Amino acid sequence: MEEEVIKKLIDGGDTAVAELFSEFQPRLERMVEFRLDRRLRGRVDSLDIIQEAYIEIARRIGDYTSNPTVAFYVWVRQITWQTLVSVHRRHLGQKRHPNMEVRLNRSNPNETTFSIAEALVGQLTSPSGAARRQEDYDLLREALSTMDDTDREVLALRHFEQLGNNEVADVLGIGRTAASNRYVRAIKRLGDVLATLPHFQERYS
Amino acid sequence: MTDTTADRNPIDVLGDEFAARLREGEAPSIDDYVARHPDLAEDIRATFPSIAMMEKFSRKEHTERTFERQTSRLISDSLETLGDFQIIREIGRGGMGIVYEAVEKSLKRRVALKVLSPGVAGSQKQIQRFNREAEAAARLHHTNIVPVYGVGAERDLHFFAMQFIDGVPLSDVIRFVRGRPEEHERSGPSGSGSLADRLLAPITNADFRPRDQTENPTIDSTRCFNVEGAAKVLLTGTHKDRPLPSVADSDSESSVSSSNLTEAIAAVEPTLKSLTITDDPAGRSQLPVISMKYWRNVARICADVAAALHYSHRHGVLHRDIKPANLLLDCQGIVWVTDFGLARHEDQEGITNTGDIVGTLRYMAPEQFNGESNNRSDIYSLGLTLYELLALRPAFEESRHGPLISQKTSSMPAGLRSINREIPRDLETITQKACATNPADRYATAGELANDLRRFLDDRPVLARRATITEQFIRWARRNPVVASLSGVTVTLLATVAIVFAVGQYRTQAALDIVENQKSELEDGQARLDQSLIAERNSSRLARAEYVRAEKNLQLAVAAFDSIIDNVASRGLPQSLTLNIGDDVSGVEGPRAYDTMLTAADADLLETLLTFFDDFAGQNQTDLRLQSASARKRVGDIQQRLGRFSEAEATYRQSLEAFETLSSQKPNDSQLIITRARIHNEIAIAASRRGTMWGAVDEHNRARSLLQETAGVMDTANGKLELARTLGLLTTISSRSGMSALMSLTRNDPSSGRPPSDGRSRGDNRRERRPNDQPGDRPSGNSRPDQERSGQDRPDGGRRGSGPSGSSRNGFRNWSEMFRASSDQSLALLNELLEQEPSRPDYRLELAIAWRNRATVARIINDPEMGKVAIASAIQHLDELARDFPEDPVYRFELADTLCLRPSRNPDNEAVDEFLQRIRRAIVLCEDLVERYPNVPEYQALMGTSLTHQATLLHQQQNFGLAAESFLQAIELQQPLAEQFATVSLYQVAYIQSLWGLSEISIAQNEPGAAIGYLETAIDRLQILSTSAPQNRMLQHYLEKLRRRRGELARPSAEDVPNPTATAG
Repeated sequence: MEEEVIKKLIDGGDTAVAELFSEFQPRLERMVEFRLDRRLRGRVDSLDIIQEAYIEIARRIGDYTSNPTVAFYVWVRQITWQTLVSVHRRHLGQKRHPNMEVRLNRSNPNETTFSIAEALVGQLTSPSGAARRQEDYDLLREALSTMDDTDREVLALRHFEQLGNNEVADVLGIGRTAASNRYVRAIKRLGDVLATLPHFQERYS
Repeated sequence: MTDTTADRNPIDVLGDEFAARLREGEAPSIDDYVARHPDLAEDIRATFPSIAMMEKFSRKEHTERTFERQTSRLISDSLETLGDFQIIREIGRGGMGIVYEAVEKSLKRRVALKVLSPGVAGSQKQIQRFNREAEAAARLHHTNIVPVYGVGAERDLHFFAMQFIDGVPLSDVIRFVRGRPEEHERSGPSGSGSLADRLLAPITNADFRPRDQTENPTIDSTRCFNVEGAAKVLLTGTHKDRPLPSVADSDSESSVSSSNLTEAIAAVEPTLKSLTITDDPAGRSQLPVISMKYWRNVARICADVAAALHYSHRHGVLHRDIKPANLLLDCQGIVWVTDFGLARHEDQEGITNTGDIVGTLRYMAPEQFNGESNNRSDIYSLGLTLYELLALRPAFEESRHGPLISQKTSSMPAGLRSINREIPRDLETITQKACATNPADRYATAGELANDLRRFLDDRPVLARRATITEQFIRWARRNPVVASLSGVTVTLLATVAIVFAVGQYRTQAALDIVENQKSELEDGQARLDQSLIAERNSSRLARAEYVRAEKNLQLAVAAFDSIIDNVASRGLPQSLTLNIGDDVSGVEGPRAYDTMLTAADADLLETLLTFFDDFAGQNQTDLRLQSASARKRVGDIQQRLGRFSEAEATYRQSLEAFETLSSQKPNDSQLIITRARIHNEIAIAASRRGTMWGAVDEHNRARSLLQETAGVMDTANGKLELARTLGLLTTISSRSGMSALMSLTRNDPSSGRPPSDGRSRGDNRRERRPNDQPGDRPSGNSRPDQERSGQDRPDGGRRGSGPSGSSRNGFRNWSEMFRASSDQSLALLNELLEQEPSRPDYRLELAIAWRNRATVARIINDPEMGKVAIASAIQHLDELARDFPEDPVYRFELADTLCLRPSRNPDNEAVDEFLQRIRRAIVLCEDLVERYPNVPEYQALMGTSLTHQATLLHQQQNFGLAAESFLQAIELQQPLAEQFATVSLYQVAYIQSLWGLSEISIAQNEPGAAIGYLETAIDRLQILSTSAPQNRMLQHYLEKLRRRRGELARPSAEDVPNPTATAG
């Protein structure tokens, strides 16, 4: 299947790249949104990053098609990631690095975006329900922060970026079976941490 | 993405499918997976819940980001114009949209333009809400509400325009006053300019973010106001009354009219200057300290906000998001309520989904968590805002939402004064009431809150005090060392009763208030008739339920109060033969509050409670009316004790009336009769203390008649006891209060300290002598209650009338005979009671007092032998009681008081020596009492009296040095009492007496300067006292006496003191 993709890229030129890229776009946006530093939100639009990434991808597509070591999406994601890193550096200095910081640091408690956002998308029935959920999220963040980096990254790739197992394996540079086992192990560990939370089982089972 | 499954963990494969279904919006069941894959059951259960959680979290994050992106996209299409509006700059953004500063081109006025985010506006519901917000807000015209000019839509952008307020949100002011400049300094090198820039305008929701300065360097140089200026306005500003342009003005001119703007700049110019100079953080130290001005300014702006809310509530508009960030302070110190953006129009219930969350969690009222909002929710939010302005920190600091909600629903914020003692107590009280957890405990309307804040500003008592009866009650209990002397259980019980009672009572009142308010609104013919009716029905039901509860609490509370008052009352007053051994308390075993001090606050507290007692009593509950009447009597007791005799008498009469009504319904209830008699006696005591002796005699006679002439009463022990008391009181009427001392003074005063040349000994009759004790006098004033003879000091009596009306009833020839017979009867009754129950300490005490009264009678009728026996008997009984009950100070107090009793009119030297011995013993007893119970004024007073007695005796014995020392010791005790209890004439007179005595000794020691000093102090005191009681001729006479003496001292021949008896006739 990946061969077909590469063939299409070689044959189709820029149009093919654009087509495939727009297929990927929702997932890329998702990735950028989740990885973008909170302080940059409002200043940097994720679409801008993706657009910048696209320019880079179009420029370097020949490098990829001549030697495709990973799936196309994994490569596209990698370029986007690098763009994201450079945007962070530009705005926040050399040391800044996009990661899960946003999710692992609890949002500023003085800002109650949660209620507005959730109310507006109509998911919410009551403020106390929202608060309870917010509580769960906070605990989830905490649980995640206690896990080791690879476990956490596997979970982020699978659930936040919604990558498949093979893609995760490529991104992490490990075998597919290893990636799968790694994921299962990570989710079990998370389960262990979450099991200590009151009522977690009944609420999410 | 189309991963093969062969090389994957089976749980991973299943989990992937599970996650995918969740993403599609399905709700897959974990149990189904377990059923389909029993071999993996354990692993599925261990992993799927976590997967579900991760997915849910992921979706939530995604939603938020998308939403934010949509909002931020709005600005990337840099808006320049929108309809008639020229956009100047962005001033803030929130969940619903962005606020710009703009100019309305046609009218050339500066406006704040609120633009709804396109993403948000996509929802029909949001557009509806947005338009409704504008409509609702546009209808409000109030000096403290940011006016809304209009609403519009252009290029798919919905917006509305409102007056541009050159102000700073209070949230920033609070942060600044609290001292966290770093948050503002972050806004860049442009310093206060960019700071002002970001603080200038209304901000929508909490999610306020400044725009990146590098991208939008627009700074309006006309900006005059910044957060430091606002803080200074609050800290030091003295607010000019409403300098605000009227609504019409602001329509014709731009937001803050240009002239106002100039003024405003001028007003803060010094501030701005100091700002530029003190650009460094150290300059902050120049910020004025928080003082009363700050508290008052806070009260003022919150009063204005409350008034604005009241106005909007009356127009059916709830704000629903009151918080510091939505209150703008402009440079004139005027506060503006902005962002009615979340307001729900009450008559459009259907449109707003009640489940929607609006407002900010931190300031939301607990009931809003359940989607319920009403005007009291806004009051609550304002209460928390007030709290934060005063405490400079949020009322609830918890930032996690769950705990925050549970804190709010279950607890009150920490007491403001526990955070800062400087915060005025009244403001604390008002805040507490405004943010009570239970809506019913809050102010019923924002107007009430505004009024209470204004009462604080006018230094008038605030009404919120009513809500804190609990607190008062607890404070009362704490102040009274009941807490120290009672067992823990009793204390707890008391506190519980107090709280339960106060809460119940307040709820009831609140419910009644609701009914009342609803009614008045109905009468106003206002809209929302149906709602009012429903609310009224609910309120009435609530009120009825609360009545039932309050009834029970009331009974408990009265009982608790009774036991305390009884314990206090049982101490008696020095120089008073009154004893208040309760009918019921006598039988009550258990600890007593020996060290309780009653103050005016106690009387006020009880009076407050009484208001509610009366309400309940009005519900036709016989039992409650009894409680109410009893409680009223208790108020009288306290007033009596505090020397507020006129008030006491009035209160007693109300109580009496209530008891008479009860009695007429239950004619056979002898206890009611006894209580009535008792109240008559109390009225008599109050009357005699005020110097209206004949009225007092009448009242005692009424008590006696009631007891003797109502069938069955004299068959009861309590009836007999009360009659014995009545008789005792009747015979000693002239000796209670400072009056007797005054009366005797008119013929025998400290100036006659030297041994008399006429052979009469000193002071023999100064304490207990009744003025009209001539044999020809008539014992009753029944027939001539109008003939107040209290001022009678002429030895010839001078009473008109042929015979005592009482004599026809009682058959006595004269006072002497009546007194002796009454005393005999009193003793007989008590002996009879003791025969039945020989161990009753209250009977024994009453017997001792009867003997003591007999000693008084003996002196009045001039029977020294009778007096000697009586005093000896009284002392003997009290000695025994003090021995049997060593822990009970009451008996030692009475013993000491009895020891101070003068033996006879003309004691021989032996008798004087014996008296001096007794006085010394009394002093020792008092010393012990004062040491053990340092807070009891009566003990100090008695000790003072004992010392005065000793001093007088020493004076008579020419022992001037010791006498002076004794007087000084007495004064040391008497002066603070006189100052603390300005209305208790007993304490005043005792103090004045000692001053006079000391003055006379100074003369004897040839120190006329000191003598004049003491005497003038005494005269000053007495003048104040007699002014407060102009009807008391005794005091007037006393004052004349002292002034005359003062005149004599001024003369060179002052040492040759004229015989005072000459002045007494």
